Amino acid sequence: MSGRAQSPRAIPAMAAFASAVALAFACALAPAARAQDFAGPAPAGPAESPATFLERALPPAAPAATLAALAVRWDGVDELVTRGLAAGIGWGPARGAIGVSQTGDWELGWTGVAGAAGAAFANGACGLRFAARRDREADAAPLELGPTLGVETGFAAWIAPAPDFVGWASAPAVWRRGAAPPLERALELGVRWRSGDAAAWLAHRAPPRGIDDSGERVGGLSLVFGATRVWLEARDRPLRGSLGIEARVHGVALGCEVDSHPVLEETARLGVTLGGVR
Amino acid sequence: MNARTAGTPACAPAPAVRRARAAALGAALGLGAALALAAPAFAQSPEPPPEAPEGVDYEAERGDSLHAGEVEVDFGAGRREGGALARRQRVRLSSEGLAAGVREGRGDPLAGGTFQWNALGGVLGAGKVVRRWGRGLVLGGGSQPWVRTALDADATSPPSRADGWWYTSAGARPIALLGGRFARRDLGGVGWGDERAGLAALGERRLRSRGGAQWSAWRGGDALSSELAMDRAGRWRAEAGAWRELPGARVALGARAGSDAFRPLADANRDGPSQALTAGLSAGPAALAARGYAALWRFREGQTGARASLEVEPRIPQHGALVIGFEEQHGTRRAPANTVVRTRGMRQGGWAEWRSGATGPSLTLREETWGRAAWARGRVRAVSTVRLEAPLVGAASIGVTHAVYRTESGESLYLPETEADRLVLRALTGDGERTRIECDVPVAHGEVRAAFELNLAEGRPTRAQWTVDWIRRARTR
Repeated sequence: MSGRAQSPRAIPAMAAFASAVALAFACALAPAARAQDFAGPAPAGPAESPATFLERALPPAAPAATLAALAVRWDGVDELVTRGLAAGIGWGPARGAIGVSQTGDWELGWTGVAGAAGAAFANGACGLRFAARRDREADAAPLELGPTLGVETGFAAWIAPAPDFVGWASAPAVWRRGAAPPLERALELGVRWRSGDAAAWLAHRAPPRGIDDSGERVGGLSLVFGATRVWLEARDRPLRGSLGIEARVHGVALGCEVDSHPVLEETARLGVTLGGVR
Repeated sequence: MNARTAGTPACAPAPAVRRARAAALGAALGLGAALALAAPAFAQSPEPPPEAPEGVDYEAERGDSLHAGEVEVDFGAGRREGGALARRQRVRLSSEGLAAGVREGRGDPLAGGTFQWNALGGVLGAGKVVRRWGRGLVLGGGSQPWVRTALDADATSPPSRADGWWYTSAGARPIALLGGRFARRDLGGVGWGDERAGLAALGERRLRSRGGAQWSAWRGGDALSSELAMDRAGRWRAEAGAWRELPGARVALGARAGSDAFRPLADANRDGPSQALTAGLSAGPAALAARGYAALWRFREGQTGARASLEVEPRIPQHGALVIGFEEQHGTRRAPANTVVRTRGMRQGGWAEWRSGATGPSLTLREETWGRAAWARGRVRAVSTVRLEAPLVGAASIGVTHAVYRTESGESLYLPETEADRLVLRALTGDGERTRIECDVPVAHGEVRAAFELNLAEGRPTRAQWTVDWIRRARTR
């Protein structure tokens, strides 16, 4: 073997460096991805999953007890995998959800906890969310807002003036302190039409502060075939798309979604939800 | 909102006197109506009047009137961004023969008082003079051609304000007298007529310059209004507006002409363009309403402007209200005398706004973007806004507005805010987010209106401000 032999200690260091580069690359090139702690497989807008409630602050319409588990591999980076668990409950108009997730490995990853509360009525709902993240390697450090611990809070609402139409707004991170979230999100506005088993939606995600961009536009279509739902979603800047499928059998929904990207690898999402309705 | 009594206590005099006063007031509409009409209902971005400094918050009185026999008190406090705690008070009352209003507060740009009472066979008033003659060329401020609502019969720019006194006699053709300090000038005037036709003259107490006196003749009506104004030097200005209701459509035309050097004595900074042409059309089939607007104007040599917009509103019953618009602007809108005018290139903008409905909880979503190139590319200004309004228990209600905005250097963005006694155009620049929470709660036979606002801008410290007002309106008899 030519060249200098690498010391055993250098190998994990290089792996960590490569992981850091990959993570930085992913974060830099995917500013508009739905990359947070509970971004499971779901089309834009309100959904019944407690993970969606935690992620976007959009409460579910139905007052059901639900439990969701999700796993996301971001941009094909093995060191950047999110595993999350979320539970939701509803009683009358009140809605609540809590969840915990972990992303990445020990050196680069973080642990997140989130809670959401809201109210849903016949034709509208509003919710508040709170999330905290802490670097995994800072587990031994004291709990103090700073470079390794960050919190954020935001709100969202949706209104359905007609059974086949819903408009929503989600500002999931209006107030932030401490460590910055992996990807900042400003404000998402969207509308969705439904006709029979088909639905279409349009949304605009405003650019976060400090990013010189015009935001992201989202358009999608979904079709329901019996117990299965398939959706396609397109996003711009850069142009990319997602394909998702969800099957529900006996109160258990199994969903997966793949996001393409012209530069990065695909993002794959997998989720299982117990309880709830579509 | 009663446009004709906006910001002015109602005195409830005899009908003839009321009509005469209405003529003298000349539709004291105020910015309240202009803002209300220009704000999201029409989806046109609100702007302060051209004499207001650019990039600075602008405050105007709300067009909120009292009925005869009512009294209203308002005690408020608030803290502006980085400022000290400020208290403000307001008292208004109206009876058969007397109307008064006093507003007080440290640093309040709207502070002052107005008193009106029936005396000497008419209405005698003192305090803040809010008057308009005809279309406002001499007194009151003319309409601005770049504002779409300028073509609406009742929509005018904010009237001129001054401290002084006025008297309006009773009768079908009342005589109006006024005097006061307008824009650092002591002026006196006399007028005869009402909103249908009239003559008036306004002059400085000391006629020391050739332009120290102006006269005006106007004619008004449901379909046509016009005014001719001239000063002692022969400099003149004329303006006319016409409206026509057609089956399923409404057409409005306006024109202004005159000398470049003509300046209204009451406020030389509000002279506006010397020449202008405006046209507007509202029409459309039952399923789609459309509004078009075009205007050309000229201040002086080389200082011109133009604007055209088209807005469509698909009628989708039970799905809320949707408005989509597009506009192109050229040239300057601000050319006050003796100032260097910064010319602005072409701007194109587009907006879309959806409102879920008027009853119960409501959601409003709005997207607006402006650019310096075709199809609004080369972005100079963009704002995404959501507003959620919901009733709470009892008569309480809450409203939350969140906006994400971005403006380039030299561009200003104004977001309207409604406070207990005023409308504020909040000037925002840079790159940031603004959240405003408003809450109305009935307390102690009155109403508490509280607002909290948080502005997070890139590269600037977080700015928070709040206001709390307790308002009670009661009948005196």
